[in-house]
Amino acid sequence: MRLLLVEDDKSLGEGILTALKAEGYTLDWLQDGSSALHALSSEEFDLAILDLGLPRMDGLEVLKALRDRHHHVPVLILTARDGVRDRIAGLDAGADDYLTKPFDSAELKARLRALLRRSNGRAEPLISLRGVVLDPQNQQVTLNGQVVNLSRKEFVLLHELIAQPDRVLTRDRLEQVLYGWNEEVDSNTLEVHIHHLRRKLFPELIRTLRGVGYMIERQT
Amino acid sequence: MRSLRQRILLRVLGLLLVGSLILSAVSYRDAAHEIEELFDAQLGQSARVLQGLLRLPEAQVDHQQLAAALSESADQQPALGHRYESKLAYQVRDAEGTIIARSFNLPAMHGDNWEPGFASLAANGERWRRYVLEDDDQQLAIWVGERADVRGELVGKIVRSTLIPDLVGIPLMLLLVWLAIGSGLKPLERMAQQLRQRDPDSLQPVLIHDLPTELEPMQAALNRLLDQLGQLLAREQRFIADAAHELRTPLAVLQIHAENARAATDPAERDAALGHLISAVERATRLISQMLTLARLADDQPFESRDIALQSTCRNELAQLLPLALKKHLELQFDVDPGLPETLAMEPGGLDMLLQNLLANAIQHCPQGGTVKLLLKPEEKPSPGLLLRVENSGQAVAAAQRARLLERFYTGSERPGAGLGLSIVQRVVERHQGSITLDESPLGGLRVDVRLPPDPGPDQ
Repeated sequence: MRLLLVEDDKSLGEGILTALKAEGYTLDWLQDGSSALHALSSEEFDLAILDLGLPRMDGLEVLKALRDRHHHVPVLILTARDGVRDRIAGLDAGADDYLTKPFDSAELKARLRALLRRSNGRAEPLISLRGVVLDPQNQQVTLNGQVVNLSRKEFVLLHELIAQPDRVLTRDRLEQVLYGWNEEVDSNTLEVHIHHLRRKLFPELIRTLRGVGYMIERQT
Repeated sequence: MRSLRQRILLRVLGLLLVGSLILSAVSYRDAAHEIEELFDAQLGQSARVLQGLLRLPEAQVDHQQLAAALSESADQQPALGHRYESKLAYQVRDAEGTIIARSFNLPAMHGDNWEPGFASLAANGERWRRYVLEDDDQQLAIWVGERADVRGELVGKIVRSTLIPDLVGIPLMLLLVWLAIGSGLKPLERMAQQLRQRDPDSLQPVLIHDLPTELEPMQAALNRLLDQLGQLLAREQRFIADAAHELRTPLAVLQIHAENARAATDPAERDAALGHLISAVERATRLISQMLTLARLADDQPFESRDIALQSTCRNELAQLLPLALKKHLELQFDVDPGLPETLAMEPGGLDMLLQNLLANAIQHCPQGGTVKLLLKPEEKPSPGLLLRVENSGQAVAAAQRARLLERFYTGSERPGAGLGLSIVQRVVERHQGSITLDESPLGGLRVDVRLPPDPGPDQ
């Protein structure tokens, strides 16, 4: 899962990055409104955490502009504006959730999981498919009841694919999910991770669409 | 406090009672005197009637018969007589001093000297009023008298009957006064009612139609107070809202680093989180102390200015910030105009606050190896006073952003800090009736010019 954090407070941004690192998300961080709007409209993210009081462009304007362009990325507003009217304005502008500062990082994580779950059309917290069960909260994967040990990158990749079954995810997209902006991409690595996943689970689970990308099907 | 109506009524009642008491006393005395005169006149007239009777030829012969006839007529209570009639008593004395005639109802009058005219005397335990008339032709003295106590009783009755209307009139008058006060106080009551019906949270001015002129100053004073209260409240609310809002982010920072420290799996991660936590606490502390400074400066309490030594204060502040400047390899310049006065009358601590915030800002926003300049010089134009200039090298601040730098909690993009330093500077300058202007510095960065009048006096 690739998330965008938009937060102008440096120390808070670093704290959130640290807190979410263990969650297995790929997290990109921007510190002003206009570059956030640019990134959200040109690249694909699974979710955005948006502060409202941002330099250059207010978070609410970013959100409105995004929704005006029919962009449906789930947005969680994380702000110091705690008034009821602010919350209403935020939700009406198109936010999917609203969390006020200060916040509990466990709550932030739970809300992110719930939003991602919903955006993939699920209500139940576990993703279960063809004998594979993925638990996003505990970052655990089982195959027919047996725990399978996956590396962080493998988990991220499986999560991305299994959360959107029957959908082809392009190489670019998957690479962005794996590495974000800050890590160097080694052109072989995606294939290596897919190979490991097939070996640890079962080969037919992930289908290759040559030249396009990969997908996991609900049924064969 | 009692009601206004009661207060007025009690005063009116008191005055009315005292007034009518005095009036009654005066009229009692006057009436009693006049009635006494009237009775005396009657006594004199009776004496003359008796004298006339005694001159009749028959009367010369038979005094006994005359006395009998007189007392008989007096004893008969005539239906048409008046209840104020008094029984007449008389006696007649001849030249030798022998009583030749007397009414039957008269006791013996010893001790009277028969001096002609009116006199009061006591006999047999009774008080009498008598009149003696001397008839020189017949060598007779005629004595006519009546009991003083009976007469007094009559006088009392007459006078009392004149006071009755007063006694009935006072309660009636009070009732009318009560009603009149009530209707006179109607506008006050209407005002009270309108005030009662107001929303307690509303600070809208009171506007009452047809207000009597006496109440207009009250309404104006009330509205002035409401207006001041509204301004004060708005300022306080704005500050509280700002403060609550501005504290949320630092608190969120504290919480996330604390939680990260707890969740850390290795010592290096924990140390990093704790390091963040400590600097977050320092930041929150700085924010709070700045907010408190600003809140303290916000009130309009007049201050006592003292002569502040300009150069030594500047050197102190520069010395304190020197380590920060050295860390960034900055060049700190301090220029003093030779004509600079030794001291300036200022609020104690005011200059320190100005310098601290301006210099710290300049150092913070100056790039590595840059220059920060402090200049002090006396000025004649636009008005005499002191110019305090702080400028730094580095990137220029856009004009639109510069205009907002003085706003509370405004931090330009990627500017660390709470955005209160320049607000504090501005407030200090306002308190000294000075001015502040932000410009682009020839060095490249921001130039802040603070102008202070020579004798600022208290800010009112």
